[in-house]
Amino acid sequence: MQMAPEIFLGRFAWHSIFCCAEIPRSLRQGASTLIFINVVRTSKRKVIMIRFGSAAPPDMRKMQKDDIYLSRLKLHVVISKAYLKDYPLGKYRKEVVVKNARLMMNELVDGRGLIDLRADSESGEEMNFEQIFHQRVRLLAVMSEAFAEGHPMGRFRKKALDDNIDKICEAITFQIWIGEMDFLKVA
Amino acid sequence: MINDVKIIVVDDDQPTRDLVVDILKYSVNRDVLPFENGLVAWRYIESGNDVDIVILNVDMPGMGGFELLAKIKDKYPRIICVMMSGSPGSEKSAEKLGADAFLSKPFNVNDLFDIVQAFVVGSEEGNA
Repeated sequence: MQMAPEIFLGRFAWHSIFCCAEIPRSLRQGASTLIFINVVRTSKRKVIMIRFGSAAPPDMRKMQKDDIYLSRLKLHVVISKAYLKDYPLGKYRKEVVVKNARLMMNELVDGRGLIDLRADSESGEEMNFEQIFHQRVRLLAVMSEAFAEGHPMGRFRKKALDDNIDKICEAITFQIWIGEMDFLKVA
Repeated sequence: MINDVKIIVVDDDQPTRDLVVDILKYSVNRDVLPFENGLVAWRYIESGNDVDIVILNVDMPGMGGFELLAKIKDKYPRIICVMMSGSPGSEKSAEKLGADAFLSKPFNVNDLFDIVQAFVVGSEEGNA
């Protein structure tokens, strides 16, 4: 069906507003994500393709084990932050929390998928740092599995979880503004 | 906002597919279905199952991402298609075939949150 001009204009304006709003947010997060708007004229209407992802064309490649491990760790940081802010945990979210925690633990046990976090530190320091980091990830996994399964988390446990998240974020240079994720506020 | 959004993920690489499914499933708190190639995903859509968003990889054995994208956009243009690829050349082709979005690999968790924010929370269909 042919789209009326005013409806088309409305769609175009909406996308433009969305994209303009996204760029500052990405910059605030320190990510190099840029959204490119490409307008393609088709026989019926214009389709706007939005580009997501920070990999510029020369850096594009397949996902590797470290990419996946790091993404799962970041997901767990978001999960735990959302829990600390009392965002709702629904059925499917609980499933993901438990599964993700176990996958991260397995990676630690296998000793695979671990990124080189501080290549510039001296070898002794690096060993110590990595051991501590692994223990922090393990603690995060255990605590999140506990809250997902409904075990009680008192004030001190929540404080320990929050501190642990901060240390992990510092190590992987990850920043997240959970308050901007409206979709996490509803189950 | 799309209520009770139905999302499927099509990628032959299992670790990547599972990661995308888990991030989306957590984000929307709804089940997200994985498919390992374009053919099984197309059969699922063709059998009358309601689908709002398809996240699909470009390179897959059998029916690849471009073929699936073309079929979906031809028969079900309202379905939102997000192409994923680690090949720079794929972007233009995805655009020509009518993809709604392109996700460059390697991606991170924030990129998938941005997709949810754009197409699930910010969906104009839901606001209408």
